[in-house]
Amino acid sequence: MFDRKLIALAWRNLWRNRRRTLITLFGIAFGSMLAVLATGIGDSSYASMIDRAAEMSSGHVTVQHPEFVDLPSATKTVENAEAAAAEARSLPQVRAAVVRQQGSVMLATARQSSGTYYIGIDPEQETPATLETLEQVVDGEMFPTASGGGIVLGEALAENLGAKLGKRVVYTVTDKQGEIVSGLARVRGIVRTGIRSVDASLCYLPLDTVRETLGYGPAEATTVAVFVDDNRQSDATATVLAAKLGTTQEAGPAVLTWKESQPQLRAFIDMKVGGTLILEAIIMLLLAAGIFNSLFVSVMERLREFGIMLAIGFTTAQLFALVMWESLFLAVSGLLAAVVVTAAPYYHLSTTGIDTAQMYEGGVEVAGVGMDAVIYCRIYPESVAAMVVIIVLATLVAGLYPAWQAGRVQPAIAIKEL
Amino acid sequence: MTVLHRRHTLALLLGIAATSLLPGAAWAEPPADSDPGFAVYVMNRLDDLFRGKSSHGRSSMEVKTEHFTRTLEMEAWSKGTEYSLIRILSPKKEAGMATLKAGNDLFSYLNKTGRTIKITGGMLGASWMGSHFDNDDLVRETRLSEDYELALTYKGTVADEPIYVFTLTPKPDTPVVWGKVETVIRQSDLMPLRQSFYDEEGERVRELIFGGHRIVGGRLLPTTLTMKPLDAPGEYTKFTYHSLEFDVHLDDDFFSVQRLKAL
Amino acid sequence: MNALSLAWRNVWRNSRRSGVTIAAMAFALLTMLAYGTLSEGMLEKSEASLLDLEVGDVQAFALEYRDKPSLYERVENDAAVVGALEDAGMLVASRLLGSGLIAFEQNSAGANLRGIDVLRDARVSKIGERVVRGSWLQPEDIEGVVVGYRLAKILNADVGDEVVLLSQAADGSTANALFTVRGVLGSSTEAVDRGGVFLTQAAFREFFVVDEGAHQLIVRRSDGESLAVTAERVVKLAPGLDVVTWRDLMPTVAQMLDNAKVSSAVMMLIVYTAIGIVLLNAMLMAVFERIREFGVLKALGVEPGGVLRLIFAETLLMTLCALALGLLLSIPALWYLSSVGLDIGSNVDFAGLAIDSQWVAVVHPGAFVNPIVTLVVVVFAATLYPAIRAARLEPLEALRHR
Repeated sequence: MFDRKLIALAWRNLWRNRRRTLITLFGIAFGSMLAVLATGIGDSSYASMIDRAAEMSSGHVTVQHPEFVDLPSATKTVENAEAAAAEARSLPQVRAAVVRQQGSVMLATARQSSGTYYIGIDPEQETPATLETLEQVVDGEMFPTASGGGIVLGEALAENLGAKLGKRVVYTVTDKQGEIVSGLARVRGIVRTGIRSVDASLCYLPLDTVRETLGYGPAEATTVAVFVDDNRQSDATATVLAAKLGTTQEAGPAVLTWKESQPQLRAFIDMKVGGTLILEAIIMLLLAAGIFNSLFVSVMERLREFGIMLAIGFTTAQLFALVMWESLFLAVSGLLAAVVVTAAPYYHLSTTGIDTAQMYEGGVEVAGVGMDAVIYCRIYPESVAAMVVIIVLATLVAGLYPAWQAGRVQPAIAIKEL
Repeated sequence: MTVLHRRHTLALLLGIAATSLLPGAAWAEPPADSDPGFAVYVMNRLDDLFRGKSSHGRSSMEVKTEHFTRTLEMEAWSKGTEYSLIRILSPKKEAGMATLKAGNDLFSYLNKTGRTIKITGGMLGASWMGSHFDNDDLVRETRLSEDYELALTYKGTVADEPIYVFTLTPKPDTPVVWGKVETVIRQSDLMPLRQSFYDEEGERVRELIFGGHRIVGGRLLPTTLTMKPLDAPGEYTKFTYHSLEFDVHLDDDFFSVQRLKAL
Repeated sequence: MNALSLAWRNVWRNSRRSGVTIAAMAFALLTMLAYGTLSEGMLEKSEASLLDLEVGDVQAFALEYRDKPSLYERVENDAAVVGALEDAGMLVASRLLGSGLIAFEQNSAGANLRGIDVLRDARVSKIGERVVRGSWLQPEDIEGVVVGYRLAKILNADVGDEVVLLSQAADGSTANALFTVRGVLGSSTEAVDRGGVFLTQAAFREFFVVDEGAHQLIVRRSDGESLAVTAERVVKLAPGLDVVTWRDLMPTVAQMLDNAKVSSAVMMLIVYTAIGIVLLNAMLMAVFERIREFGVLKALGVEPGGVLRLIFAETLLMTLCALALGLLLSIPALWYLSSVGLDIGSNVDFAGLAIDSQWVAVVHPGAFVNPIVTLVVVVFAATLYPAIRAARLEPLEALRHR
């Protein structure tokens, strides 16, 4: 089966009908390229959706009081949020971890009052990669430190309150003891995300100032948002972090991945991934069909030849092996051709991408929930490995029947096939 | 940064007075109006106008808005700065409703359903009984002399009435929304006549008018308080005190949630 | 003997090869049909579920309402407007909207109260079908409410519990009343989950003392009518109202769906290309394998044109067989996909889009056009090159081939 001569013969056989082989290789190459592009577009758009969602909410991994999601209140905190953030940062795959305070607040100006949710942040810890809105300040600026004064409002909220830059806003919250407390802040900046419902409710306060108002300890907060380099590391990161924080079923802060804190996004992506897998399966199937066609025809033509080979001493098993080797060589050559063919378009798509802004009205201005106007294509190495394996397997499976046919040849009948 | 803690304000609107504040008794003699301490003295007096050990009174509140005009009759009790209870007597729909302040908690008893609700942060913006005041106004208290910089800016006669005008500017970190408050005080008896609330751009937003000055329960007090929102011309909320007694005997447990229902 | 009958005999002479080629073509057709209808199904269902649930197609409000939502900003003659729209054949329902507080035992939360016309509302919205515990509202129920599940959780209330609603009525009085929770809704939109409280219009009117008028009209477009046309009709029949489409109301979701359409189109392109390649493969081989045969024909005196015609005739016949086979198989396949569909695991509720766990295809008559046209075009394009080569061959060269 592994006789060098047999293998060499298989290789030569392939190139005897150069045209047919080339056509088949072309098929494999282009099919693979398409599969790669489709998967890459998928991989990169989901990655960007997840990253975007992480930036807009509480990171890829979130540390919170276990009851905070269902019963949000100022009493459900992570006692030592700063330490938790530090632990997170010590993990190599974590690119950032920020402590935040979240709760409901009543804002009042001379003209109007309005209830909303606030986010207490430390602007020295946050970057546009952890908090997208830092780049969406249209008027004024973000307050510079966590312990000074200042409040930043969404554009529509500021308008509703009649709040202008530099003017007073009184914020009222319920503190850790259940008491109602107020503080004063002056509007430091106005943010516009483009999403009206967000702009009508966005409110940022300096973290330490809020802590003091709420009567928290200096390291206490409701949320730690952890960001990882590659969203696929979220699960592992959460597990490690939970262990480090001593979280058990009964006690300790909850460490949630984006999948748990945003189950709908997760289900959406699972579904889209499923769709892409189906697409890949279709492409693989089509490739296999093409390969089968090629091998089958090739074998059928050579029946006489196989008969002669049997007559001169080759065994059935060897004929089977011969065709399987041809099949394997087809696969490998096809993959090499695939690499050649895919390289350029992949490079272009992974760096420049397709700008879809022209494809529909509205342009790029509208801030969407998370799909970029530019479609990139960046495939994960695991996906490539999987595809290679599948292509090889598909080719081999496609070769089975023809190979078997080759082995079944009766020398006498074959020779008669003249 | 100053953190404002809740103190009892229902008193301001609905009247209590201190036993110790028998007419003239606890007020030290006012300093001369040229004295720098004069403004503080007058504002303290204004803050303490309705404050004291305990009280019980009846009043009505008339609310006029673009969409409706209604009048509520109320009965109120208070003790110190910690407790107060207001019970609605009419109209029938709200008769029996009550608002209780006990310590730092604010409760609302709903007559129709027999339930009591604790009022928390988010509800503070809601209007109280349909008036131009909200729950926040009821619970919030500013002490004029502590939270504002005081200045006597005018002394003279307006419409045959000799008055003082004090301009109050909130101290930098006080959780107060106003840019400026102007208080008009009658020179003769230091009674308040009017308070105007301005935003930071100098526009008048609210006006509180004190009227009906007479002796009630042994003290000289303005018995009508009218609040006018200046962005809604024609609208107002007017409190009128019919009767007021001070130093009534009230147990602490009079001011309890259970009591609300029993009333 | 014409090319066609010769072609037919040729096709069946090489039955195995022809069979394989026809199978490849039929499979390609099926794949395109399946993928196309599934894609269409996904997009349509997503959009439909969103619109069915909360938004409808077109909504109408009193002019000031969207900027300053208030109990007083109403469409005064809502009954007349609803009547007019219904007479014109549209599905429409009115809603009364207000906000207040809902409380149960020690817990309370802000509530968005929605007074609905139960019977009409069922025609424009599927929210009533989203009840997971208890039941939806009955038209005559003036004491029942149905709440979002997160709200129920915060209140720690469930079906059968008595809750208090508190707000300010239109006449300035304090509205407070007891209601019984009839049902709890499964996940729909964030706003409904966290604060949605549904009650009948009669109950709303009594609670808020609003005798006439409604805040919101929800209109569905008729099948086949475009969104713009529906909006225009509403504007004509209900002058003086603020009329908006769902796309104006939810621009981010609209953009997301558009995005999804674009990705879908890109994916479709990829699938078609893949299929095209396979067909190309098949056709190239179908012709090139028979170079010898064609050489013989030419040696026998058949002209290049004749060979060309023969090849195309064979291709045509095979394509027709493939079409027949493909379409035949597509009937059960598409029937299955459009009624049962593919199981994608779990229900998805995302940003207001509710997608069932069954991925169902939607078959429009037009769904067949693209696949068939593509098949024919690709097959013939793929056949062109080898056919011309075959036709131009020198006979001896052909015989010598291989």
